[in-house]
Amino acid sequence: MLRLHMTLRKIISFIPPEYKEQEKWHLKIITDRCKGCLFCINFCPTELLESSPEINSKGYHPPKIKDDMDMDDCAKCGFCELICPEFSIFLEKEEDTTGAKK
Amino acid sequence: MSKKASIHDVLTGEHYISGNEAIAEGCLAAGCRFFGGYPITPSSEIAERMSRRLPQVGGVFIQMEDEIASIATILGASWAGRKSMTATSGPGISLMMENIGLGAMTETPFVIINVQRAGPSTGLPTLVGQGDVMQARWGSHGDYELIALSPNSVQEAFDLSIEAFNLAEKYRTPVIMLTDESICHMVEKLIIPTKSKIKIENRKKPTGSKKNHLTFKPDADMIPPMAAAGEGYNVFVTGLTHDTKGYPVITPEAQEILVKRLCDKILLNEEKIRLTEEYMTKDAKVLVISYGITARSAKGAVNLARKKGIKAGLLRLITIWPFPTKLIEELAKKVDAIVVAEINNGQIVKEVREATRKSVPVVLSSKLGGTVHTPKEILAKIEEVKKK
Amino acid sequence: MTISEEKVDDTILEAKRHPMDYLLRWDRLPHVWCSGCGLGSVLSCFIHAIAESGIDTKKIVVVSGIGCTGRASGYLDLDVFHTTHGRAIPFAIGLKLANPELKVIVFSGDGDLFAIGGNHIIHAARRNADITVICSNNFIYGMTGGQLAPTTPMGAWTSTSPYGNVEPNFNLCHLVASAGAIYVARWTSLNARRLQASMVEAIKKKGFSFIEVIPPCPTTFGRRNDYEEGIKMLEFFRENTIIRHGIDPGDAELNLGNKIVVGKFVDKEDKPTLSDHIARIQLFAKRR
Repeated sequence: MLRLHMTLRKIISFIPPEYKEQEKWHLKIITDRCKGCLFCINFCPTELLESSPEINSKGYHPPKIKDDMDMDDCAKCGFCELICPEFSIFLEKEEDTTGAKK
Repeated sequence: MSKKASIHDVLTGEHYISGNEAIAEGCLAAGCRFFGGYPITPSSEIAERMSRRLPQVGGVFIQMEDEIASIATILGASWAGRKSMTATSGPGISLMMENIGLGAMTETPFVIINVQRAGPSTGLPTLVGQGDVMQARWGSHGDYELIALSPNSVQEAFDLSIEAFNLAEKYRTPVIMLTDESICHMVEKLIIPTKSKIKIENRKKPTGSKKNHLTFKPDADMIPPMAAAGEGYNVFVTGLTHDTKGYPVITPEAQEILVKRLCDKILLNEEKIRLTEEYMTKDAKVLVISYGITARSAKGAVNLARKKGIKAGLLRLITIWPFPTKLIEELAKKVDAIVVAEINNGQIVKEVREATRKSVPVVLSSKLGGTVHTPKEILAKIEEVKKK
Repeated sequence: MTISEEKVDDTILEAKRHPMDYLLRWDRLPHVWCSGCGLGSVLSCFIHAIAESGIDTKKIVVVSGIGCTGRASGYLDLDVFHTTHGRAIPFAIGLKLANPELKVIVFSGDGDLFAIGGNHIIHAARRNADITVICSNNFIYGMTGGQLAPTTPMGAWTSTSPYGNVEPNFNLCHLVASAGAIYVARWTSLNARRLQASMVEAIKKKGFSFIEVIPPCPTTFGRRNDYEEGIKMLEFFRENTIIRHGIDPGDAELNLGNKIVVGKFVDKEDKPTLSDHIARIQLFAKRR
């Protein structure tokens, strides 16, 4: 039941617009730069990330967002970007956005 | 000092000063505005004069914690766009060797004054020597070429200081002035011309776009224009083998291209760089080759030999590196024997033998330091080869 | 209550460029550092700090010596100099004195700055040369394969101390503070936010500023000392780092098994720098 709820949540956000953050953020990655050091995964304050089963061109497992989580769980602290030794993962605000009004 | 000269610029006029002081004035006249050094006998007077004179002309003098720091700091200053120099002697030049290699690799113009004293090690700190000639050429590891000059008077010490900076700037290379204790502590008349009569060469500056600037892209003359730090070119400078961008490339191919060019830009311009003085060589049968203070005794020896009816002549090397091999090869065809006089156990004599390809006997007149040759000592060698 | 039908990201989006690439020579990436090495994190904090400082990047010059950290300058799209082993500081002093408008930063390692270059750093601090030194202390000579450094803690295993290190290590912050540095701080690479803020402070400081950063080195230090992965060492930092601002750096020694004391140890008021004094004597000599 919990799993179903999570899947639903990924598609539709139930948070009323007035309570929603007005900015939209994305986690982005340059996959082939990743060397799989796990820094972003280990030190994410919301434990949003895990190793992807996929491998990049260098043979490392880049991070991915956990199956039961999404960007609403991200603290938007940018710590992963700062600590990433490879300039691979980063947090980016969507420029042209008006929050939930879309 | 003449009345017209201002202490804030070139000290035009007649002076009666030492070689060391003349070198300091020559470097200032050449546009040197940065000195980093460490005291060492017999070169310290250069640092002392520079410490007083540089602030007067808006330059920077700094006494570093050792010779290694001295040379590293002048490399930095050169990359910030200033003409820079240091002055030292045997033990100091030995300490500087690694960064001379960095200077050659990164094509950094700067001038080192080596006031030679007798070595090895501490040797004879206050007495003359000429034992650093080979070290000047290959003291740092790896293949590289640089320019070395050797004056034989106070006036020439001044003139060659300007030439040293001009060559450094033109060819983007370290230049070593291989002078010696005798020249530098000798006091003679020096005439400093007016500023407008002094020919100054400045490094080529890049003209293209600042974006994606190629720090080490050579022009047709094999010499890359040089941007300074802070000009917005984002220079990339490394002692690693690099490509035209300056980026490290650790391959034999990149090494071949880079090191070949670094050597060729000096070696292929040997005739343009070459400065020599020939004295009575036209009909000479015995050729004396010498440089620096020793050349003064050699000139005396040639005069004595002529009086005795021996057709002797003198070739004085002013540029020591790159070596004037072709010139000596030509001269060797005309003479019966060559005498090389130098204050070491035989360094330049090997180059001369190489140049003559054993076509004529080459005899060494050697002293191991502490004193200069007397003309008679060299004359004895001239007479010896004449008999053979 | 209205239901928004906005889709929320549940994947990390693929990108071609990193927002900080404008300060990087990204065509040289990936860099030479191992997986799990913290030097990349330090470099990341550094470029974030440069961006945050607002200083004209045209005027920033980064000088490195030799070693793993020495490679850092080569990834920065600034005026960068990769010099000889140990000589980054005198090279930097030359740049700064020859052109006082430059903001000169030395970014190098512990062996480079404190073993072969030890003489230069104490003199630079003594002179109050107007440069910032960022020293990345990984306790080891990394690039040559993990040999003993003057920063290796007593008892640690390295490739040239196969029976354990018998020499006491330098306390870098204490040394530099004693020599006269006006800003001294130490952070681990895990204190990324504080490190970044500290770098901004140090860069903006007039005079000789110094930051010691401790990054994990899993390959050459960790492997022989029970931290075979970068995250294992970072986990150790998380558990064992204590922040003590303003304490005497002499009391902040780095020993095996002890807590790692980090923080901003020294932050003195600006005093005339070497460049100031040289400008003053130039003015004096010109007037005469």
